[in-house]
Amino acid sequence: MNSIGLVGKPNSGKSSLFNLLTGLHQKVGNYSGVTVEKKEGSFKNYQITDLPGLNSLWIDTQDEQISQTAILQHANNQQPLIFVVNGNQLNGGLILFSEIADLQAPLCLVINYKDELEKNETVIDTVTLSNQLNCEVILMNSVTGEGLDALVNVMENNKFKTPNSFCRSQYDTLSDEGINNDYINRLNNLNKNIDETVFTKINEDFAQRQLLVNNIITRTVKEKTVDSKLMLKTKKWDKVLLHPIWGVFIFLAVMLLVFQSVFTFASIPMDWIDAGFASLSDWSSNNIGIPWLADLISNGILAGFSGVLIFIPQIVILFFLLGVLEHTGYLSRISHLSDRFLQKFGLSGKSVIPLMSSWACAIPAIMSARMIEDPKERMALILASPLMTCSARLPVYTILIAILIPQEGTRFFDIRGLLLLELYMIGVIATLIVSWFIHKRIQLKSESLWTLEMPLYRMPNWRNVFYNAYSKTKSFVVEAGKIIFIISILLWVLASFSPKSDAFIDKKFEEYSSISKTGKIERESIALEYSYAGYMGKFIEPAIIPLGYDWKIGIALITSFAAREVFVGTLATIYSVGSEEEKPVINKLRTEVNMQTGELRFNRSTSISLLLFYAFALQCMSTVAIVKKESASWKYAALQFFGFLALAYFFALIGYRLF
Amino acid sequence: MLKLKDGEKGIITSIRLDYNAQKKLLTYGIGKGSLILKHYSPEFSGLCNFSINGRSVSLRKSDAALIDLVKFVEE
Ligand SMILES: Nc1nc2c(ncn2[C@@H]2O[C@H](COP(=O)(O)OP(=O)(O)O)[C@@H](O)[C@H]2O)c(=O)[nH]1
Ligand SMILES: [Mg+2]
Repeated sequence: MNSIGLVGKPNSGKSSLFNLLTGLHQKVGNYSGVTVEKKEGSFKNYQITDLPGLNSLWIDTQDEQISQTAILQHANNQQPLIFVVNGNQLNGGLILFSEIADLQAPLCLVINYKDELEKNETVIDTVTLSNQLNCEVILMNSVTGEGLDALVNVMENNKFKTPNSFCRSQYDTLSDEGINNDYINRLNNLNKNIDETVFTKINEDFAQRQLLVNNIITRTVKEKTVDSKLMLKTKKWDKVLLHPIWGVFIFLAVMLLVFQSVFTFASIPMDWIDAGFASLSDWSSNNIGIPWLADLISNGILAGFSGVLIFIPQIVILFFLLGVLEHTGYLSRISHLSDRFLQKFGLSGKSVIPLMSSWACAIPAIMSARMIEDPKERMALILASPLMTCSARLPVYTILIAILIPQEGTRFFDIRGLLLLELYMIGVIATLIVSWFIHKRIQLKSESLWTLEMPLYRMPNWRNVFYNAYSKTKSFVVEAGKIIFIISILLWVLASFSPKSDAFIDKKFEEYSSISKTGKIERESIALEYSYAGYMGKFIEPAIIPLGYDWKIGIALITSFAAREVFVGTLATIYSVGSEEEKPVINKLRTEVNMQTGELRFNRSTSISLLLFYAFALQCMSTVAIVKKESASWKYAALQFFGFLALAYFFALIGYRLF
Repeated sequence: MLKLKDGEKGIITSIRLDYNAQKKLLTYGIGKGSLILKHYSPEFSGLCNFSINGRSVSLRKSDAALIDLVKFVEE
């Protein structure tokens, strides 16, 4: 299959064109060894790659490195490239085009944003331009697909041409074997730290290209030099949206709206998923004749599936809305507003969205940290953001707070709500402090210069928004899903099997039933006590007694390391509540007595200690796996896991002692 | 650059950032002799925004302060 690469500056419309060409025939992966996203798809008998945007072949960032390598490879194999340029920024775009033309690869030039060129009454003489460059030139709108036919024609009839070179001859060197060209060598051997001589060379190269490009543009482009309408509109909007008071106000309102919709809209399909799995699970326990198989299916496999699916509504909605914010251009304004504040903590304005996403779930947040170019900031964000209060912590918090504060709040003053808010604040503060600490300590090179491009405001391209949400959700399901699923089954095994025999458990059950005062003990909870999970709970008991926990809570802690939200279900089983509804669990826990002291088991100190433990501990194996993948090392994942565990233990201990 | 008023144009006379940073600016088309249009650098924010060749770019004020300009007045 023929391979074609899509290249161009960021925001030139490559991805729009890619989505237009490949539709659903695309897959998102990684470039080997690094976490830069690799998007490939097929169109007819071509394999199309959407390369990361780059500003110059004289590369700076990792994204650019990837693009440069791919472009050099295409040139080397004489595989064609489609060069996409924003028609409003022809000048800068053609300079990059000239750098690539000098590699002498087969090319085709797509001038994008045809609609806006028409609106601004800019006329481009494509025939002359095509002759000057010696390469096909196509005017296009990659949102509507106007002009696509011409591009398809070029692809089908292989009209890619090696364009005239611009400055290539500058790099000719004379040796014994004749004339060699040093251009590719220079690009390949660009050092990370450039000195004055190298910079002077690059500067000269740019100046010359600028001259040549200006020459071409004056001959082929007629533009009105008035500020375009879109630019004027953008200026007006910016006056309001970047206003020190109104801007911040609107930003907070937008964020509130986004997260309100993530939580409220998502709760409806989440309830369906919950109910659907509950009835499926009932059905299988009643209709599958083999007891252990029925149990495996309903409590292992189905629980695993629902643990993955339950998060999908929130993630789809979150990515859809963030996609809208991004594609309208508002995202850059948010970065603008928040940069100064976040800079104090080793982050930047570009971290806002990943940070806020982690209120829904840390996994998509860590994945979206890819858009941050600075390696140091990115690592700080990846390692700190799971401290934000993700939605899986919410059911745990709700139960513990209800135990802690028996009376329900009045309409005007709700102390439970206040406590929840405090926990969210603890999450935010901890995230900022940890990220500051990581930024101080980590040995990574910072980016040379922080820049932020401010695109014009536009209506979002719905096709892009849709594919974006689709591919992000898909990678969540694949990445996190398999881990949640495997761990759920593993937990089922640990909780269902016992080193003791069935007869032993029956005997214990009778013993307990006869001495129990309340009388209501289920065999299931005895089975759990003597299961492998139960023994693990007892094994860690000495370590958690200082925090005010016993082995029963220990079991819940262990199972929570798969995913926090199973805390409630596990406690329900251990205490023989026989239902996962909140009310009966809360009532049972509230009256549970600590055998040794005679006090309530879930007294104030223990409850607060547990809240703090859940606030800090990294009880989510999918996060560990994603961090390992995104940081490309087990070292950071392990550091984070044990670091958070130490923090959790420390604060839980303090909480237990103080309250 | 910070001395330029919003909406004024300027020509870059010197850049006192390190060479890596200068190279990055160059790829945006920002170098000695470039004409830029300052948009805004609000008091409360740490950033300074301007446009060059139709692209709108923001730099941190501490970096922007190291770019020297002369005001450009159109006849
Ligand atoms: N008006 C208009 N907008 C476009 C056109 N092509 C792309 N866009 C928009 O420009 C933005 C950036 O496009 P994208 O494909 O993500 O650029 P990439 O960074 O090169 O992948 C998106 O909001 C697109 O909707 C076009 O031809 N006309
Ligand atoms: Mg793209």
